[in-house]
Amino acid sequence: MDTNDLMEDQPDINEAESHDALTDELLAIRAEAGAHPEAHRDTQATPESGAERDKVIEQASAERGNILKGVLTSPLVSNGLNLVPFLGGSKLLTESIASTTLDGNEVSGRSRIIHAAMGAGSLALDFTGIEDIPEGTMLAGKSVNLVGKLAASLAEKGAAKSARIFEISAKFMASNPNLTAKAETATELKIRKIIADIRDYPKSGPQIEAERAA
Amino acid sequence: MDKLELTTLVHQLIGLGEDPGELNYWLEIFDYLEPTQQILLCANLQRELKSLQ
Repeated sequence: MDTNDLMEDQPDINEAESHDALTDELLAIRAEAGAHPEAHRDTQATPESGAERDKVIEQASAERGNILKGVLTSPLVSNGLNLVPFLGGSKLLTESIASTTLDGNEVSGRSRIIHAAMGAGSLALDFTGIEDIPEGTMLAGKSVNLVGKLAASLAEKGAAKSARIFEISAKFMASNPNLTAKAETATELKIRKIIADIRDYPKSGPQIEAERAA
Repeated sequence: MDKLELTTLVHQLIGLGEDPGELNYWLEIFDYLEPTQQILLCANLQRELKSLQ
């Protein structure tokens, strides 16, 4: 399995079945309106107009990703959690809402939400030092609980509204298990890469000094 | 924009092919967003609707 496989973010049948009642209601509304589940990719429009619609939806979704990043990193949340952020966590959050991944794959609206929640969750990973990073999995099967714990922590600190947002985000992740699993693997790869870059940094120091001297 | 107007807006977008799963998430968190975040979200959805129509 390569990284491209991991970052593939189209919902599958299992996730379609895991919609909650409100989502089912919204799906019914779309059906009544005559829109196919892939309406923006459908042939009722010309390829050009379909591509245009895709672009509009993609752009709007990316903007919402930025809004969500602001929500999850707001001072209310930061102060409520009182975290010492994992170095690189903000980079993960930024990448989570980008229109494409580092691997060049497009990111769907659902994946943006999941990656952003996971990015916020990664801020709470309890690392006392980069040498303490476990060899086993850090996120696989754990991210929903991690985001849920952040919700509980916010609730304890009295940040009720922020707590609800994290609770809803954890529920969203749980209802999209395959997307969440892919995001966990991809995020963990990124975390390990960030850690490797940090560990390698001292080795490149002499090179940087030599370049500066030249 | 109140929640009812937002819900109507979301229904319109879904009718135009937007993802119900994603927009349902935004409907669920709407009440817990800060007022400025709510305004940003509504503006985003209104712009999208205008562009898709």
